[in-house]
Amino acid sequence: MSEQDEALFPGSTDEQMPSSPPSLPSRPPMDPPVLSRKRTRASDLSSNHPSSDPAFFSSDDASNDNVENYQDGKRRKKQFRGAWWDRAMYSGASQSASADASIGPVPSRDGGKTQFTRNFDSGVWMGSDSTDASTELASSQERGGATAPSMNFASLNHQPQYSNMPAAPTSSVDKRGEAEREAARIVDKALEMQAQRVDLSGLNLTEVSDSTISPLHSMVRYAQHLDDQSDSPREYFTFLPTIQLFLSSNRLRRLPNELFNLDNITVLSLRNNKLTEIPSCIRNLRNLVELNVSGNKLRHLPYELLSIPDGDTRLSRLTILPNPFAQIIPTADAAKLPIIDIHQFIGIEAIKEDSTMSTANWPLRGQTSRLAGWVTILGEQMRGRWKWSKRSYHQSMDGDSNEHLLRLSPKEDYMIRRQLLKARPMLIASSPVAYLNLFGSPNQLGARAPSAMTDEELQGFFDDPSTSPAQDGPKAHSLVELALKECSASDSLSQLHTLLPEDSPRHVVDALDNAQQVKQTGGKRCSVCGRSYVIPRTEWIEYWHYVPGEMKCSFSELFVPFLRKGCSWKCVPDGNPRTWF
Amino acid sequence: MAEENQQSDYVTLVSNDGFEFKVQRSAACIAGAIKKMLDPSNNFVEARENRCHFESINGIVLEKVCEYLYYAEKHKDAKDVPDMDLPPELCLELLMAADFLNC
Ligand SMILES: [Zn+2]
Repeated sequence: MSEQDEALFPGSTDEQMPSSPPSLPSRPPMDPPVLSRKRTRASDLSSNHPSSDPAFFSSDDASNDNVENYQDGKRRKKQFRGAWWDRAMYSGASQSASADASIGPVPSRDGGKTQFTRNFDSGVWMGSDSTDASTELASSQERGGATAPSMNFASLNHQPQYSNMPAAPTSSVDKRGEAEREAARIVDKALEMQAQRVDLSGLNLTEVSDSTISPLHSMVRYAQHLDDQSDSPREYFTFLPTIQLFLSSNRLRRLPNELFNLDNITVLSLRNNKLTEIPSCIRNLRNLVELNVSGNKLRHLPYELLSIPDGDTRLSRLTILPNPFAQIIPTADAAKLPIIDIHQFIGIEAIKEDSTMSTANWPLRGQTSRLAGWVTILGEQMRGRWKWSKRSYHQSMDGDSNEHLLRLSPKEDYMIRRQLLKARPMLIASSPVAYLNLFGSPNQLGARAPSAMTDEELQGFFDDPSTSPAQDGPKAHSLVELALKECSASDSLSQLHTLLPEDSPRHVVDALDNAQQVKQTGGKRCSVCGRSYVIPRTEWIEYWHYVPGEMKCSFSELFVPFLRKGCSWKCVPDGNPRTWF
Repeated sequence: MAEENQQSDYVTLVSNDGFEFKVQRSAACIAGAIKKMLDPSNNFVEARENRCHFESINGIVLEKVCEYLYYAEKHKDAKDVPDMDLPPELCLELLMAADFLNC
């Protein structure tokens, strides 16, 4: 700052008036010595390493095995090559062992092979540069070597700068339960057989760890690696195995982060579990053809699901019911309705005649006006699509006379219906926007975010937007957000909360936890502006009509709630419903 | 240092180790807590003296906070805002400070 002054604080101000801010509970424990040491390290990074990127991810140096490059002689003493749990394992040998470790690889229990490789794919979030280590990854588990309790911990290696680092686990025993070990065996078997179908259904799984899923990742890498040696770049794709992963009929409450790095999954069944949320990183699975999330505890789907390509060769089977989706339309009789042909239901004949849509043949006449309104909107959008499809069909047939548009041969009719099938999702209705505070909680005390509202509350929220008046705020991210993002970039994110003062506010600790969660699931991107963020500042529910690949659906599938979030108070719906992505 | 009129253009932020930063009032008030302190109707000593003293924030951190305040002020109405870079070694302290200052 140009205005910076370096005068000493006088300290003699008279204090007759109350001073407003209660001071922080206590000073953060980061006292100057720690600070200066850390800064020393930071400058080492820039001076010794030619790259301008600070080596903040463990994978940065893991891949070329040059830990030394980052550290000067003074620090080398503390350095330990290998995983941090190894350090705990060898703590019996104490200082001398770790001093030796700086010179060469630590001998592992099963002979010469260093455990360092076990660690290689630290990349739950940086999975892309571990090509040649992936086989190590798979085999080290078979060897029964020290298994990481979770892949995430791998990022903690060679991080000696915090003196009060929490103790590492004392045992290297596989903490996965019997059910999960069975799952791991099935995964191994599938790898061995080069089977594309990995069936982990009905195993009574309560949890699936990243380490159970990640070998599937290595199968991909292996194929890729093999192929790198052939000349034709085309073969790469034929080698890339697609995976059909069945996790149905278990008791899963959350999904392993590693799952969302498997972008070659084409079929994913999560049917009959206890999931309350499908994480937004589902968008990473861009090759999904079939997704089944039925029989869970979902109140809404993530908006990001809509960005997965759909159509003929892509996502064409999406099974979402039953789930306790947020309903703001009374649906007492809806469940009893038979399967509906959408086009017939909204009067496709009327659409074809280009007349005004009527709901005369609509089985729920007399229902709430909201339902009538939504069906009308759906009809209008369908009609728009129909016209558009017809026009583009005829243009492609090299004729664009209006007369031509009116007559359709059965074949043309079929073609255009196919076109409609590929139609992108249609936005039907949008709730008011809830504005969230710096830590992502509703601004008003006692208020609930739309994602946590009951059906009744959500209905009231839709009906009365004045309960959530528009807020003005900067587009710039808050300092809280920027600081959290910087924390997220740290290797030792999972340990940072231990450096906070004991009496830190709960929401600060929670925010760090949240940051870690976000990082593990591949980061979040604002659904409006696309910036990455940790804490959402806006949130709202959108009802979409989205039935990819099907002409028929049940009533409850007509309008499905999707949860949408923004990263600043300026990140709100733009007012023009986007019907085409 | 003379404190004259209450609504001076600049206010002084003081760290716990005695560093002082003169900051434009409009920028300083981006932090909710500072805005509150400087609001004359709250009758705090800070408002009278245009000077806020932070017992829990040191000079290095406060300097970054000031930088942030100017950054946020500058991009107030901007459509595309680049994220401001923070030094990694300060991220936790800045998080605590941001929580405290409400910005
Ligand atoms: Zn945004």
